Amino acid sequence: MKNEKHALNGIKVVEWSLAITGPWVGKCLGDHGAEVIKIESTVNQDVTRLSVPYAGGIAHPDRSATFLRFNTSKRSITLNLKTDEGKAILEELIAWADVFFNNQRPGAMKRLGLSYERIRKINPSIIAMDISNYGQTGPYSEAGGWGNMTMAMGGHTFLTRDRDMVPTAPGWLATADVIGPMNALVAVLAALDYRRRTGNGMYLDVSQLEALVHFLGVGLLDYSANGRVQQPIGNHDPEYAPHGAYPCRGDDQWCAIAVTSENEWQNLCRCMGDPLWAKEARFGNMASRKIHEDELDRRIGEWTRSFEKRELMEWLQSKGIPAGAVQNIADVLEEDPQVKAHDLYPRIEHPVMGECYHGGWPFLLSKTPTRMSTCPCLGADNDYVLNDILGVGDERFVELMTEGILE
Amino acid sequence: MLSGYRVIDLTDEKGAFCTKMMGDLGADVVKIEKPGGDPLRKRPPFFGDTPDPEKSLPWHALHNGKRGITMDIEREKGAKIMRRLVASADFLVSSLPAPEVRGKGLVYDDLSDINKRIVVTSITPFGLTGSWSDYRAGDLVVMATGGMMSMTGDPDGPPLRLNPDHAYYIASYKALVGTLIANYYRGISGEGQHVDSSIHDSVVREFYYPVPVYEFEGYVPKRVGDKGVRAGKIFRQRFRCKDGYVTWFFHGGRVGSSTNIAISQWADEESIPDTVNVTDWTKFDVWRASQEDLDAVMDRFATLIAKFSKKEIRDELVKRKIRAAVIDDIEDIAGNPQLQSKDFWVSLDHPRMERPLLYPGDLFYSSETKVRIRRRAPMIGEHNDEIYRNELGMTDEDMTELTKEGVI
Repeated sequence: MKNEKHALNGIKVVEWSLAITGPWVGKCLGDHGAEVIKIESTVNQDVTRLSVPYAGGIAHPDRSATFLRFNTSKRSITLNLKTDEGKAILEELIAWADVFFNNQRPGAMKRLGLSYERIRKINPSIIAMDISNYGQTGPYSEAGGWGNMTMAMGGHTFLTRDRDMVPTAPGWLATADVIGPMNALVAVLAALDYRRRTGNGMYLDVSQLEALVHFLGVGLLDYSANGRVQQPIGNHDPEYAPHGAYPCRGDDQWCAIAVTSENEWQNLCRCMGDPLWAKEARFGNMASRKIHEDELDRRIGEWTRSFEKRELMEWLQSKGIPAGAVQNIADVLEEDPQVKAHDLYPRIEHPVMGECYHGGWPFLLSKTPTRMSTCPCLGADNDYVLNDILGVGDERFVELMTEGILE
Repeated sequence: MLSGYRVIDLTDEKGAFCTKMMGDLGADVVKIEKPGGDPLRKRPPFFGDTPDPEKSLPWHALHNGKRGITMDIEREKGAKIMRRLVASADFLVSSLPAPEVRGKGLVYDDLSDINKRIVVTSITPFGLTGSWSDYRAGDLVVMATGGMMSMTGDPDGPPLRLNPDHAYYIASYKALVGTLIANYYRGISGEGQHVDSSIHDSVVREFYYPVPVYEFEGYVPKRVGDKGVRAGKIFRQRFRCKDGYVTWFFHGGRVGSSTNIAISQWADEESIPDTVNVTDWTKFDVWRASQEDLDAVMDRFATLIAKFSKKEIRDELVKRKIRAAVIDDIEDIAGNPQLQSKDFWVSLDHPRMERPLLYPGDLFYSSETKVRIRRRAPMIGEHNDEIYRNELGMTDEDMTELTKEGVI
């Protein structure tokens, strides 16, 4: 770690954010070398600090493994922004920063007296970013919301299901909370380069909703061109068959198989031992297989049942057939050769939680690897931020502490 | 924001959204197709449902904002032109399978010999290293290996992927993040590098909450249908209304209180019986409440919602600032008042289509420049003249020869 170059070394970031979408942006910038200061409060804590699961089952802001997911490689300072002195410290940090972003509910920045006009007065070349569910303007803006709502409004929930099911989304998370920060990262990284080239900072208003709607480009054009309202197709494909998840040996074990050409189909037939049913005319070409895909799925499902999912995947892949074991969390964290080869879940020591999984990035940069440190305990860096960065001096530091500004 | 940069685009549907966004950001993206047209042009649906390589809607959705040239990079003369393009490009983005990336000289080491500033991004199913790196996979297969499917769908049905091609889109987003990090570093150091982006890894890095559940609560999250699970408690996420569904996730405490108070008030107005009678919503702790109490609150919401239509509910939710949402389909999205208020939709003509198409517009708002679709997708070889003749200085004879040989 010592002599490595990190891509974003030297970039100074201040985030006033909570939950998932905002913090994830700061994590990425920090993991790649930027200095990221997270503004927190002991009274008004980031909701994920108060979320299960807690390490050791003990509810404590420094023990939330959910908070850990989104807050690596940052410094934490607690500031009471309801006090003038707390706001003054925040303004000093804005003057210091290259990037200042938040994902508070729209309107919160103005109530704090920190409109973009004001921020730009403090720091004319800053990149200031608001991140929200639907953007800072428009009829839905003020209500704010959660990722499950944006997934619903962005069409992802409607489309994620089989033909006859009720709309389903993954019950354990909202993917909008993953997509939103990626959109914000694209914005801020493009802005950093733009500023390097032109000297100009800018204001960015990034929403989850716009990003999610872009995922549906094909369906939206189909609606515009043909008036058709795209319907869910589950694991199937508009053209290819077989295309599904098939049961394997054991409880809740499955393997996905997706045949995209005649050649792959022939190979699959050979693997199945060229059964008679596969020679029937109705399975003779892609279009006909597509029409009879329910029957096709049933037949293939009978065959896959006797295999172990990973064995089946690796065997079919060796014959050039796209196939993949349906991995659960345990498989991914403990057995997945790619996760291991790419060190996607490094185990890092946290001062309270001990050594545990930290999440990396799904791209490897050949010259500038990531440098991840664990998430900060609440207010752990008050001293560093106030003294080393802002140089407030001992007297003021003691004053800030005793007057409740650092709460 | 990326104006002045040139991108060579060798993507198919796996990575095309990445370069489409680079176009929205202002880069000059040059999509390279095989002579005769890209395979994506054969994918349905088509404009007017008539198969035609210029009317494939997946093509138009994924390759808008780009210029297009035809070139066979597997032929020697094609490879030579490719090297000339690489010499003047800032980015090369490909989503060819890993064996082809290696076989066609598209790995970073080969390309950096021509241009040491170039940033080379490869988007492949499993990345270029690791024992699965040469495996074939489309969207469904990486959704399976990436872990998301095991947690999506009904408990007694098969695992389910997210909405079509979710893996390609999320991987394209993440690959662009990696690419822009490399771009920033190039700006200050003068050095390009390789961005080895994996679609499987992109899916793996979507499930944030299940990792600590497995690690600290000691169990493997499974499919829960249309429910949500937190701390062992079951939360309904789907509520039937007259003509569709609504989603609401019950949050407690200070965080959920304003919504809970508003819902409670609305239900009172509709005279829906209240069996829980919470007096202070700011103190209602969903982690400690009994499942029966949670169910009673959610059942009351279900009864309330069942009385109304999607449109009525939308209006009430906005008016009452309730954090719940109607589950919208494509038609609902096209009429979404929030998007309309932001002038989101962009209409573009195409010479072969009788009507303009309406595209999703802005990625986000920037005070410096519009970040949105700039042009429709190119027709086959539409910019051959512009690029080969005007920019690479080829003559009529060069062009005729290359065309005759099937290189362009």
